[in-house]
Amino acid sequence: MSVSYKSIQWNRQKIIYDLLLVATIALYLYLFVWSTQWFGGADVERGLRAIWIRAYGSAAFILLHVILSIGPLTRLSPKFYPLLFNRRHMGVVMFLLGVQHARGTLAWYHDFGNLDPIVSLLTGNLNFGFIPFPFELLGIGGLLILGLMAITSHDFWLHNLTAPVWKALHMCVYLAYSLLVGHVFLGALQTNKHPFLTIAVGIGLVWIVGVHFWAARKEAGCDRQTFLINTEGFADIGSISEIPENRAKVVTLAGERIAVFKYDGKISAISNVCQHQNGPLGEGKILDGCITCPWHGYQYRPEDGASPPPFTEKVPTFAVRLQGDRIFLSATPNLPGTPVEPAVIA
Amino acid sequence: MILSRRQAHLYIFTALVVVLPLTFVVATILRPQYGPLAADAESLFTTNGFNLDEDAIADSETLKGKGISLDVAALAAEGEQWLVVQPSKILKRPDLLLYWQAGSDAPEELGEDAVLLGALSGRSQRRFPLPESMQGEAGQLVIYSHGGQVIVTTMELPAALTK
Repeated sequence: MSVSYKSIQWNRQKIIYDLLLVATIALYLYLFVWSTQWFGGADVERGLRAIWIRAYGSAAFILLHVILSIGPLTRLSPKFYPLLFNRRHMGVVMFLLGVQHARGTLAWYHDFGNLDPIVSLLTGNLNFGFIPFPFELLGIGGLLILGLMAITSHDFWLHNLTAPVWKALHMCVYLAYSLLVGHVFLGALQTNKHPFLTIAVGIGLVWIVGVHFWAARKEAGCDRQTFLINTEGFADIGSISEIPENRAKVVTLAGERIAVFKYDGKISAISNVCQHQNGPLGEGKILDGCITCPWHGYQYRPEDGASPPPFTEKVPTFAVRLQGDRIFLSATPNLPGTPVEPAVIA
Repeated sequence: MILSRRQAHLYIFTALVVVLPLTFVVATILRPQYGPLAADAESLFTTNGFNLDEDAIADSETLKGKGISLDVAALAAEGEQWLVVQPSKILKRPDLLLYWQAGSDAPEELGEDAVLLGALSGRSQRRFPLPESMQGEAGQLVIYSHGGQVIVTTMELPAALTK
């Protein structure tokens, strides 16, 4: 939500986030190179550049696991939302680490022959059986996708592509993850048989696919909610007492989620989908009289689903009725920004 | 996320939860069991002087010059006298030649009578046959940059290493 265009809206949180990110990666790279030299003895001297290639590659791979963990972890606990706030910077840094890994690989393994390094990389192994698979191609594929995502990560693209298209594009990270996991399985793990590496990669795999599958199943369970819609087009979605003050109950009705908020003795309902990145508004709370998205702090008034001036974002609203303690919600959305009289709690 | 994206996420991970662990298991099971060299390569390494018979080494010493040190051993094998040379650290220059020159003083220029033993590279161990003129003689090992046409360093080679 911004009135005037700024390429990056730096604030204190983003600066702290980025400083911690860069410091952690720098520390990891230093420890990786130092410990490899320390434990590897004098023989590793000849391969210092190869050690850096592994340091960059492993840093990018670990960071990819961290990034992919954040989404499902926010399903577990809202305490993880601060990690999600600046996740895109983490993604761009991961891409840059991947580029360094690729540059080092080209220069170290493919730059001493009579072939162009790129040609050497692409033609060095053409065995498309299972093993030895040309795992480099999987890495290239993953890196290209991450590059596309890094380029389009800015809000400029989010705004112009619209959130659903942008989100679909960025779900390609799962394809990139699959390619990069294959790159490691069929590359590093084929030659480095140390049990630690195999177990670490295996645990990472089980964690990522496990936590995502669990989160997806949990979300699907929530989406399977069914409510009986009466002849007036309203559904009984529960009691007032179920909803904490300034918080919401999220229900799936008529094909999408709706956030029903209780605040100041009133009940209002708006779409659960934030206009910015389609974040879950119903998991946010009302701050300064506005529903605040837990992802990036976009705000909407509960009465009309519109952002307070001078901002212009709008989401659909829904009519609400109360009968005793029961809340009846209209299954028909109003146009985004349409004012709806809140239901007053007697 | 909107409903259709959530469904796509579920479908994607329903597939990945099967495919990726399966790939991991198969890739781990099928990884090649062969080492970087086979047992039948031993003779090749021996022929090229990489495998040293410790009993055949008469004497050995680490010789130090300016910025370079060499582990040097005298070897009697295959009816010949050999000088086995291995740099202690990686040589930074790619064009180094090893000469032997008679005399006790370090030469400033490569003499006409200097004997070329061979090339040095990286940390590779090299085995040079000792010419008769060199056997039992003390002298100077001269490391010479072929590209720069200069002596990089010299080190005294005792007679014990040329016997």
